[in-house]
Amino acid sequence: MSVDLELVQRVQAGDKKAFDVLIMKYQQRIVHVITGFVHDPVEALDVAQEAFIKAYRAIPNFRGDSAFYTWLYRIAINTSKNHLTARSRRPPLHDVDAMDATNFYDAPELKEFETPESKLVSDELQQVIYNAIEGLPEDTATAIKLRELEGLSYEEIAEVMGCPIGTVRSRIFRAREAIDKQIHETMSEGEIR
Amino acid sequence: MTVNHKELLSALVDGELTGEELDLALNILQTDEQARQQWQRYQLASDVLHGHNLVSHSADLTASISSAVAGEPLLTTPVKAKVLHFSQPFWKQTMSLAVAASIGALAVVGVMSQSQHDLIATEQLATLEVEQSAVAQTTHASKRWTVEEEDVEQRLNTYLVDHNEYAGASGVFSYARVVSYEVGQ
Amino acid sequence: MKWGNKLMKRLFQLVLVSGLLLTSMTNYALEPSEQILQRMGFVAKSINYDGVFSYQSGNKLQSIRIIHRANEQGEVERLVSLNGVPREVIRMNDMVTCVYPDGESVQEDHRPLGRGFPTDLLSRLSAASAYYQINYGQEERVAGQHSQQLVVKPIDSYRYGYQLWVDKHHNLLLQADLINEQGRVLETFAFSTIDINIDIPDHSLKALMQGNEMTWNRNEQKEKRMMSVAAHKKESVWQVEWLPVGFDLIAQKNTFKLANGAPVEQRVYSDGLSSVSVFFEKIRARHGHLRGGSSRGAVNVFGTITNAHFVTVVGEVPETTVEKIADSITFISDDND
Repeated sequence: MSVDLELVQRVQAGDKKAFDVLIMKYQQRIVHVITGFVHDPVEALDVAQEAFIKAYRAIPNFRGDSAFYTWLYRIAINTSKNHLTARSRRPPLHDVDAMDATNFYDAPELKEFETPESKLVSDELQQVIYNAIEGLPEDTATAIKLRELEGLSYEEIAEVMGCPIGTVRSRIFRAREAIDKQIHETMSEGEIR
Repeated sequence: MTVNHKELLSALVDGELTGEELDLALNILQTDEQARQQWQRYQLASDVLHGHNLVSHSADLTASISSAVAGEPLLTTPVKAKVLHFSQPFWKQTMSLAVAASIGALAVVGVMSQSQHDLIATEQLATLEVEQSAVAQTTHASKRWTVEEEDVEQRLNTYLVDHNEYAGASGVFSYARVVSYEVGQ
Repeated sequence: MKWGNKLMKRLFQLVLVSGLLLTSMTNYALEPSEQILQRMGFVAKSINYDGVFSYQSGNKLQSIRIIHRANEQGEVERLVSLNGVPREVIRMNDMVTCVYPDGESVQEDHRPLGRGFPTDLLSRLSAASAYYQINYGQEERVAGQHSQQLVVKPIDSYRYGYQLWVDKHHNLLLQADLINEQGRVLETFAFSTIDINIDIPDHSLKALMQGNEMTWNRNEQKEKRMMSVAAHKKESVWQVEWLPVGFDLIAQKNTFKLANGAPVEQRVYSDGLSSVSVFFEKIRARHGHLRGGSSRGAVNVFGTITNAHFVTVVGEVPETTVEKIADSITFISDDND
């Protein structure tokens, strides 16, 4: 992905803010991957943070032989593996009931970084988004589905739908706007805890 | 932030920007807080569609990571750095025994190893080889589809691979069917 | 609904210990054979063993060594291919790493050695128990262990059955045969030697093979497929009018076929144990396609042409099933077409 490569090159040239963009882009995915192995959400965030820091330090050595995300993914896997291995060597975990008693969102060191959207719970949020998509005009819905659910590029979507790439881009944009609006409305109504 | 800017941010989520438009989008992100939030919302919705937040927590790690590396020296790219192969110590475990990856080597490991179980495995290997040739002689070949044209066969093989990816059949059975397709076509 | 950490942890523990889908845990007043099934799933995850098993179908034979250790941190498992392509697979709970020998390119295949010990066979059988009858068979020796045979008979002739052998002392699955309606064995999975309930040292679980590694989460595919079904639910240009009782849509995917770039829709239907895939491929260029039936090993396939599409049904089910499904497919006429 040329965008990623561009950002990496900027980071390698000393632009730290470009790395922020990469974090924002991939943190959700990386946390999800790590949670799949580590399970505990609090630990997962710690491991994710560690992985990103490792990536930052290793970025001078990134040569682009693989996609940036693949490289980042491997770092995340490795960090998870080390974490699991170290954990398996420790005596059985201490009683975590005390920690469990507090709602995760109250964890002080992370609260200040909470985004409004994080209040929406995942599968409810997913449903809101699916509903938003189903309410779209057919071409718009097809475009966003082919992009997000089937992972097709703009060029591939243009071929499937028989329209110019510019049209694909604006359809997907319109879909995202509609989804954004739907999420905003749902949150304002305060229906989702 | 204009509508056109928003459309750029949307395309940025998909990685479908190049040249001037990419520069513009990145500059917008770095200078406009509202734009950054809008982009993060697009990104989040995309992540949700991919199932990337199936746990009910999401926090923005950007600030905490940023501050963690804030003290670190600015990176400069070495002009001709050596190329790192990705199976380097970074995530590869250290091996106590370096062996070539061949069946012969595995058998050698079995003989040299102290473990009783490794020895058993080696014996089993010998037995299985005998069995294998016996089996090959007595049963009919069920490896290939019973069709004439090669392109039809290829398509069927592709379908089979796709089917095995989803199908609930026992993992071992599925693997073996796919290996049959890979080997000896 | 928010899940607290504690509840999540308990659920993970429950799933790990029971080795079954949560839904099937509500079974009470069980037949003895179903009790055995449940125990088998539980035991396989929570006991140590070291053995060699092979997969056989026709003249294809694949042998794998498996070393499995379980403790309160979870499971660690190592599989080594003993013939054919060299492979090692290490699994730590959900994290699976496959090692490919140096010089070989890493495959995207998420089942390089299958999933080793087919415990998923047992949980799937539990989930599909409405469509299969399970009865006791003989007592026999398998892999040097005193074992109980279980005969799994499908309720109709549209799917295949199994014969299973379970070690009587530890309730470990030692052999599984896929059998057709005539009683012929189509595929076999069987331990030839096994040591159960032994100590497994750390070094037995470390990969000896050096090479390229690929790591993934073994639940990845399942998550993807469930999302895909949820997302595509409202679309149906195609109608599959007939399926064997109990078959439901479990996966759906739209892709491009690499060869000619034609869009292909794949739907997977399953009763929990057996499954078929239906492929709809828009006809793009002149090329051959299967008309009628064919087979390979335990897999049958049937192809037809409908509404400018190649329609193909494939799965490990009898010939009559794939043919009947294919014949029942109709195209819902659409304004766009």
